[in-house]
Amino acid sequence: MKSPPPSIRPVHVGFVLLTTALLVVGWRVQRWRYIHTPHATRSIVHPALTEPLTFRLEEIAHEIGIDHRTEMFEPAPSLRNIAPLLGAIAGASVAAVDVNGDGWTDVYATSSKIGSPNRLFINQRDGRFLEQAARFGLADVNRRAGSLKPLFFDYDNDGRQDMLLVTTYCPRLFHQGPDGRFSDVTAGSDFSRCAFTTASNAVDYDQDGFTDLVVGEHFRDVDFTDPKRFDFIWENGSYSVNGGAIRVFHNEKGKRFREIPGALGIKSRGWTFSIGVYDLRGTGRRDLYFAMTHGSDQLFLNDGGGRLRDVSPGIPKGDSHSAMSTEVADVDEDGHPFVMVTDDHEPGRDPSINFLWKSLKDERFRNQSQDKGVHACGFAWGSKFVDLDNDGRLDLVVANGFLSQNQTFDYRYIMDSLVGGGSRKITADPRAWPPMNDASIEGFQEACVFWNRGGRFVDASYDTPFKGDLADERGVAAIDWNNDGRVGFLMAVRDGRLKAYRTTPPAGSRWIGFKLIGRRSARDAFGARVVVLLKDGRRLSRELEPGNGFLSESDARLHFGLGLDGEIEAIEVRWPLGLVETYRGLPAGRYHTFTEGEGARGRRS
Amino acid sequence: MAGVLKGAKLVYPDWRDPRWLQTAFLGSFVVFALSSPSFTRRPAQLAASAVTGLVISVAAAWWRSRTFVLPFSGLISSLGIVLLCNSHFTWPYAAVAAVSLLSRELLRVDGRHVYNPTNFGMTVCLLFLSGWMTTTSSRWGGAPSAMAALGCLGALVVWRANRWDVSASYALGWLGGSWLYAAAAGLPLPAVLAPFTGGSFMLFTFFMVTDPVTTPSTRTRRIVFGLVVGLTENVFRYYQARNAAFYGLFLVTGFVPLFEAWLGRREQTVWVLREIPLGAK
Repeated sequence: MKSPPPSIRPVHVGFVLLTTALLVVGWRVQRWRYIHTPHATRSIVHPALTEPLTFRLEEIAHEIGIDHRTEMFEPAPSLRNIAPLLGAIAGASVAAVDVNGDGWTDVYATSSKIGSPNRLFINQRDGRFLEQAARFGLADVNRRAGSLKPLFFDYDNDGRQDMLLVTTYCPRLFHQGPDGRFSDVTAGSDFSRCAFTTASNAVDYDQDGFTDLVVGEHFRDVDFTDPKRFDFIWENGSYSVNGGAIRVFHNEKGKRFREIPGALGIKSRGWTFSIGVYDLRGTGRRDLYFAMTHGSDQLFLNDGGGRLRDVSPGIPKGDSHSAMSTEVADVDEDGHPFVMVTDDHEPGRDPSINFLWKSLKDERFRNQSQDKGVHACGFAWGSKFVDLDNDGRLDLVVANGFLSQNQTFDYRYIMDSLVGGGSRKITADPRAWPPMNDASIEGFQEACVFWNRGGRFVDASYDTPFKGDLADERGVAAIDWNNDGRVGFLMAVRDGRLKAYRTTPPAGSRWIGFKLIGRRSARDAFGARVVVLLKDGRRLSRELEPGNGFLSESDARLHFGLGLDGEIEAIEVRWPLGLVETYRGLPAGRYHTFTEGEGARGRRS
Repeated sequence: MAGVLKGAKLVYPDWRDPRWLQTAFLGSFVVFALSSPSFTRRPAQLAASAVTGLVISVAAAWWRSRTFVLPFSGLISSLGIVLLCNSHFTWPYAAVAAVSLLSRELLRVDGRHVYNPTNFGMTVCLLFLSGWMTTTSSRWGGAPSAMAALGCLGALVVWRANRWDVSASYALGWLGGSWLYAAAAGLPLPAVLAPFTGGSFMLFTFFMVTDPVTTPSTRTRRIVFGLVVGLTENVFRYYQARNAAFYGLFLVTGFVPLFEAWLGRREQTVWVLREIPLGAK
C-alpha cells in the first residue's frame, strides 16, 4: 500500500520545538533549584534566619586539645573497587563518657582502619583534654578489625565503665579493672559470631538489674579483610533481605553474656544502622526501634518478662529506605516521645525524608517531621536532641554527607543503575561494581541544626559554623565540656578530624542536671526517667539513653535548661525497675547525683 | 435530563480491545505495589491518581463530543502513574495524572494526541517537581521470579495490542545503546546492563513505549522508533541524566508527528469500541 503524500504543517514542527524546549527549560530549572555546588550533588539550601539566634556555636576541638583524625577502613585488595563505599559506611564514631569516674566527661574517638589507634581524651577539668588511650588500654584495639561503635556501660555493676566495641568483623567486650585499664574479656561470652556492625545499645530488657545488649549487624557474616563469599552488597534499593542478623545478649549477673537463641523473636533481614531504646508508652519498660536501610524499620514493644512484640506494621508505609540514626525524646513536653529517624533526602533523586514518629495511644505512629520542620537535611546520619540555648526545649543536631571525594565524579548514578536491576547476582556481587576510586556520593553537604521554637523547629544551620563546612559527619554525641550546664556536642567525621562544638546560651539562662546511680536497677540506670516539674506548669521529661543515635554515645547525665526564669517545683525520678522518687528544693546551676532509694518515695509504677 | 442526554452516547471498549488486558496487567501490579513492603504506595495515592485521571478523561470526552466514555485510557494512565511515580506526598500523584490526561486532550495534532500521556506527565513533573517526587527505578525488588512474571504478562499484552515490534526493537536499541555507553564511559558492561532485568525496565518496555496512538503507523517505522528510543535513552544515561528513559521517549515521541507527516501517516485501527445511544437524537 502506498503512503499518502507528505503534509508537513507548522504544528508538526511546533511539537518538535515544544519537546526540545520543555527538556531544556526543565533541565535548567533543576540545576537552578538544586545544584549550588560545582558538582553533581544536590544539597539542601539552608535559609537565613528571620530572627536572631539566641545561642552561639563554636568549634573548639583544637582549642581544648582534642586532635583525632578518623582513619578509614580498608578492605582486602579483592574489594578495592568498593573500598570507599565500605569506608563511608564504616564512618566514624565518638563517645562522651566519664571513663575514669571523676565526674568530668571524657571523649573516646575511634578509627576503622586496621592497625590505626583509637584515642581517649581525658578531661583535665581546666577546659583541656589529654590523650591517654594507651594508659587505659583502649588505643591498640584495631589489630584484627576496625572499630565501628564503642558502647560504654557497667555490665557488672562495679561502678566502673566497661565497653562493648562492635567492629568491621567480631565484637569485643572490655572490662575495666580497679587500675582503670580495660582488658579484653570477649572470650568469656557468646560473642563468637562476627559481622560488620554499626548498631548496638544497652538495655535491661528483662529488668533483672543487669544491663543486657542488643546488636544489629549491617552486613552478613563476611570478613572484609579476607572475604570468602561475594554476595553481601544489598540486593536492591528497596527491600533487601541479605543483610546481617539482630542479636540479643543476656547479662548473666555480671559474669558473662549469653546470646539468646532467636533474639527474643526479633526477626531481621539485616542492614540495621542503629537501635533506639526508649519507653515509648510510659509502661516503665523500654521498647526497641531498629533503623534499617534498604527496607522498612522495625519496632518491638516490651511487654515485660522478656517478651517483645513486633508492631512494625504500626509504622505507616513511607519512603524510609535509608534510615540511619534513631534518637528519641519528648520534644513537645506532653509526655509522649517522638522517635527521630534520619534518612537520605536528595531533591531530584530521593524524596525520602527524615521521620519524626509520634507515638499514639493505640500503638500506632504518625510522622510529624514535616509539621515540625525537621524532615530534610540531606544524606543525614547521626542525630542528637540537645538543649543548646538552655530554654528547656530540645534542639536537634543532624550530621550530614555520604562520601565527598572528587567533586566531578558522581558514583550515585552508577549505584542507582546497579540497584535498579532485577538481578541479585549482579547487584549483590561487589566484583560487578565499577571501581569507585575517588568518586563522590551525595557528599559536600552541610550539617543541620534545627532550633526548637516551641511548636516547630527552625533550620538554624545558616547561622552556625556548619555553614560552608562540607565534611562527611557521622556520629553526634552530646557533652557538657566542663560541668557548667552548657551542653555542646561532638561530631565524628569520616576521613576527617573530630569536631567539638561549644554552645553559649543566652546570658542568665538557668539549668539543672542529674547523674543517676542505680542500686536495685543496673548501676548505669539506663532507662531511668527524670521529670522536672516547673512552677509554670511545664513538665520537662528526659530518659537516660546515651546509646541512642548513630555511631555515638552521649554524656550519661540528664540536663535540663530552665530558661531565664524557670523555677523548679519538684523533680520526679522513675528508676528502671519502677521505683518512683521525688526530690524538692534542689538548687539550679549544678549537677546533682541521685542514688536509687535515697529520694522521697513516690508511687511504684 | 433528557435534554442533556439528547444525542449523547456511551462508548466502551469491545472485548477485543487490548486495553482490557492492559488494565488487568497494570491493576495486578498496583495490587502488588500496595501490598509490597518494598513499594511505598498508599491507597490515598492510588485514589489521587485514579480520581484525577478518570474525572479529566470523562469530562474531556463529554466536552469534546457529548460522549460518555468508560475511561480506560485514563485508568491505564492513572495505574501507570501509581507504579512509576515515587513520592512521600499524595498530591504529586494527582499532579502527574492531571498533566498526563490534560496533555492527552490539549496537545493534539491530526486528531490524535502527540505524547504518551503517562510519559508526558512523568517527564514534565520529574523536571519541574523534582523536589517532591522521583521515579521508582529501585523499588521493584530483586526477585527473578517476579521479574519473569512481569516480563511474560507484558509480552502477552503487547502481542495482543500488536505492538510487540516496538517492545522488541526498544529492547534491542537499549542493549546496543548500553554497550556503546559502557564502552564510551569505560564502565563494566554488567553494571550498565543491570537495569535490563529490573521491573522498571519491564514496565517501560511493555507499557510505556508501546502506546498505540503515539507510536508510528507502520511496522518498519515502529521498529526504527523503538531502536531510536533505546539509543536515545542511553545518550541521556551517558550524561548521567536521571530519568533517562522518560526523557528519551519524550524526545523521540515529539518528532513522530513530523516524520509521520513527512512520510505520510497510514490510518490504523487502534481501539475496538462499542456505542450505546443514551438519548433521542
